[in-house]
This record gives sequence, structure tokens and C-alpha cells, in this order.
Amino acid sequence: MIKLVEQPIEAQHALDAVAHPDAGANLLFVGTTRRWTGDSETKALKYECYPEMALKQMEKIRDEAMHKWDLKGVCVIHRLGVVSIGETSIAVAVSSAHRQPAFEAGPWLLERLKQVVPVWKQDIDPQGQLGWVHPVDPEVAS
Amino acid sequence: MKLEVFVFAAVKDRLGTDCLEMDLPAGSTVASLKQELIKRYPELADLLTHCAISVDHEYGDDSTRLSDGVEIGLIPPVSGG
Repeated sequence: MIKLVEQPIEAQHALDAVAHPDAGANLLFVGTTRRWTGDSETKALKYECYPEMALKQMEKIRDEAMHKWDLKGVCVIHRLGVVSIGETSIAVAVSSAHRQPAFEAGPWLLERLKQVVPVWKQDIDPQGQLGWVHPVDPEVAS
Repeated sequence: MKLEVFVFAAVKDRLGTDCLEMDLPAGSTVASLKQELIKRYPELADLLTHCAISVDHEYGDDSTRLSDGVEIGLIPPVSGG
């Protein structure tokens, strides 16, 4: 399952989506908005995307992962709009028969997604000022 | 040929629009589109040089040829996740 959503993400839905009778390993990554990045305080993040291309690129990454590893299921759900501290911006779930493919594919999916899926975020500071997060700074972008 | 270029994120904010109309010679490439954009918006040159160009939702490289009717996106460095 590949989805872009405006509403809060229920991480369990991502795990449910990769459930498979032949899966013995189910891996879940949940990315959330954190308050501090270095000395900089964040109140929320605001995400936007190029919807058609984002979905197409997410599907391509899923297909590549299914090709590279013997996976039973892949699910990526990315939230759009304002995501407050502690709320989930992304859930990535992977299932496989044994743990190794899931442990390898999970981080790979997330890294690829951060490289190619056209989603952008703005940081909203405690004063309500918005600033685009520039991914050339790896700590800020992660 | 007339092309519509969808713009996003910081570029959209700076230009105040989400779509640009460009008129380029038939057979133009992604590289020539980028050159034309920088010529038209020199104040955005720094930003534009870091953008990728998508053609029908796939990343193009400099030599990708553009044709009538394709959907073009100007893609600033992404920051999803």
C-alpha cells in the first residue's frame, strides 16, 4: 500500500497492510516531528508534495525493493499538511519470511524516499514563522 | 512549443505562482529549459540550478527531449520523511 494522506497516520495500519501468512518478520518505521534540531525549536512541520509524481515515485521505490529483496509486503504512508510535535509524518512497513530482508529493505526504502519523492516540508517555529527545510543540511532534513 | 511548468515549494513561494508558461523551440531539451528559466528569472538562479526537472512524473536529465503536451515539474531538492 502506497498512500499520501491529510489525516493523522495510524502506524498499525501500515503493519496491517504488510501482514502475510508467509511473513515471519514485520518491520515498522515511524517518523515523527521532533521539537529540537540542534538549537532550533520546531512547533510543527508542514508538508506539501507533487501528488501524481510523489505516488509514482513511491510505487517505483516499492517495486524496486520487492525486486531487490524477497519481501511479502511493503507499505509507505506519508502525511501532508501540518504535523505537530510527536505526530507521525511517515510510516514505512515491510514484511518478509525471515528478518534479514526486512531489516535491509526498511532503511533502504526510507533513504530512497528522501532522495527522490517530491515532498517538501517547512519548519514552523514557536513564533509561527515558516521556513523551508533545506535538505543540504542532513541533520535538519532527517 | 508552449509548455506548462509546475513549480513547488520555495520556487513557488518566490514566484507567487504554481505554474509557468514557457515557449521553447521544438526539440528543446531539459538543459535548454533550465537555461531559459535562469535567463527569465536570474534572481532565482541559485535556487534553479539545484532543481531537477520532471517530465511526465519521471526525472529528466539534461539531454531529455521535451515535446508538446508533456507535463513538466520544476523539482527543488526534496525533504520528505
